[in-house]
Amino acid sequence: MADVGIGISGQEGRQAVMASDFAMGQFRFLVPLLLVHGHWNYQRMGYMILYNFYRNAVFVLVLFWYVLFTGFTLTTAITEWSSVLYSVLYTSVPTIVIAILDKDLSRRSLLTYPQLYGDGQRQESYSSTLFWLTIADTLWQSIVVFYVPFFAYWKSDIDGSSLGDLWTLTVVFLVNIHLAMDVIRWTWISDASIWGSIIATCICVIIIDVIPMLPGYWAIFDLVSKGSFWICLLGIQIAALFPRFGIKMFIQHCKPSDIQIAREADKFGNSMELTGQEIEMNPSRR
Amino acid sequence: MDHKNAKKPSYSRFSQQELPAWKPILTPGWVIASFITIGALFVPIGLLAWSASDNVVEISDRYDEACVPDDFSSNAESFIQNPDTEKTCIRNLKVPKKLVAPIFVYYQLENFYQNHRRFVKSKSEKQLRNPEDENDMHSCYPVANTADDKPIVPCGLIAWSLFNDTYKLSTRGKQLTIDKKGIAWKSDTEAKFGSNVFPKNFQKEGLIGGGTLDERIPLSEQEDLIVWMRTAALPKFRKLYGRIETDIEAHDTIKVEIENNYNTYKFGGRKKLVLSTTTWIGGKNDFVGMAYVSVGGICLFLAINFILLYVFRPRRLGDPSYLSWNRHPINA
Repeated sequence: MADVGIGISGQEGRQAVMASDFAMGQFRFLVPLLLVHGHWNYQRMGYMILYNFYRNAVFVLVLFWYVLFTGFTLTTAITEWSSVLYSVLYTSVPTIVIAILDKDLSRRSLLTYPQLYGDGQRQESYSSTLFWLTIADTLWQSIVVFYVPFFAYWKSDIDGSSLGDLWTLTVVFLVNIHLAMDVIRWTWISDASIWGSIIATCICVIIIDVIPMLPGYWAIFDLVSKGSFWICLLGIQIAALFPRFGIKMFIQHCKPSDIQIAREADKFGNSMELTGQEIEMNPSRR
Repeated sequence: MDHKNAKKPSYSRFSQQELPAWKPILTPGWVIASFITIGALFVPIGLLAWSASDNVVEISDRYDEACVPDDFSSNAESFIQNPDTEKTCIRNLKVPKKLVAPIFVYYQLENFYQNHRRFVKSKSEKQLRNPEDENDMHSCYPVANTADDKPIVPCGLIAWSLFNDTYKLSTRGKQLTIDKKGIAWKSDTEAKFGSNVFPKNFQKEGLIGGGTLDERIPLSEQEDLIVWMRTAALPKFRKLYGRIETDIEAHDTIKVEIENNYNTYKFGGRKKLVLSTTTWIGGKNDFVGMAYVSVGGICLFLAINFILLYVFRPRRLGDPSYLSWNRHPINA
């Protein structure tokens, strides 16, 4: 069963083009379509789906953990305005930018070594195992984000709005730094979107807390004057991310995927040819 | 043939995805360096935080059970609700270490959900700020207006449940003055509570939820109310009662005269009086220090493990023998 329909317009007319998902003029365009754009698309979509599950679930799980300590009455840990802006402003732009621009391998490598296309056929970017690992990682990160401030401020005189601000800032920082850890190719747009979102979040939280009508008035200024706030903010990022970092580096070293080897070969200039082996298909050079 | 090129989209580095980029790859050296850096940073910070928390002197005394006289011990509720019973209670606190001024006096409540959703909503921001908005009571149900429809200022459950135990502290026969000015956030006293809004019809009829308010003092100066209305985030919390500006020597005994007015008996809440000094990390809390030391320690342990891994199972970067088609070669 076909996944994508590609029509070639030409001497026999345009009927195939009308019925297809993609259309092109010459047969030779099929090669870059599949090997380059198909591969990039698969890798981007796979990663983005996992990242979006993580990004939304981590936020909701923080709200969930808080409910357990409000007598189950669904008070939101994070102020309403920040909850709305989370998906719209704080974390959406980096997601979109990385999903469009991130490339794991260059066009040249992908065309020279068509076997790299097998990564998609073996489901290496998105599979049931990867999904459940992502969920487990999300659970751990939400536990760290919620419980570190919880235990740090248990029995203290902190109010709901301040602790909510701490959770908001922590979650946004964490989600963006997690993405930064996974970006393969950093362009100026990726930099601007990730660090820009973090700065935009800080500005928005400050603006929300400068409106006297809202219950959290001035909470952020009171919060940043506490040393415990800065310590929690830094500690949570590292504590939440180091398991993922460690496991990723371990797998990268012991069971590297083809993509990983190809990236290293690209960067450190090794030839990927192993003498005496046959390559199945003639590489098509553009 | 010009029209052949007319359909070509305009070239830009962005649309052809050829923007200049940095492609970092984490080599073994970087991995080990990062773990060691984190460990080297976190362990000292953790130890600093732990020692700061250790330097905090905190005296905590639970008095709600002890302050109920023996004849009411099985029926504390009726004791507290009866306006005629004697509510004064004397407690003695031992001072383990010298307390250096400023010493903060808190009341700590446990099992009290100030973060209950309907409790948190039950107040009127407009009413607190402006005397003309005294009829803005739509979110204050069930404590909105009196039986004959007069507005209650401040309305709502948060104000209605105002904590009203009082404490008088003395040591070596001399009374310790507790400074009750400046305990609320300045931003609250200036912007959220009006200086021309006065309490009206407050705590006059129906169930008594807590303390009463002096109707001659404007809300911006009712600091106990302002502190109380900053609803706490967690069910075990403390709120600032006042500040003591003199030192208290070690091994002294502080005599506390408590007016045990507040009813926490109905829902199994607990009341404690807390005296505490503060440091840059706040009150007494070992958690942050311990957590930092643990994370730092685990990272150093992982750094050692990675060093062993890279030494005993090295892999050359870009080594083509790891490619899947080279590991399972297809013979023509």
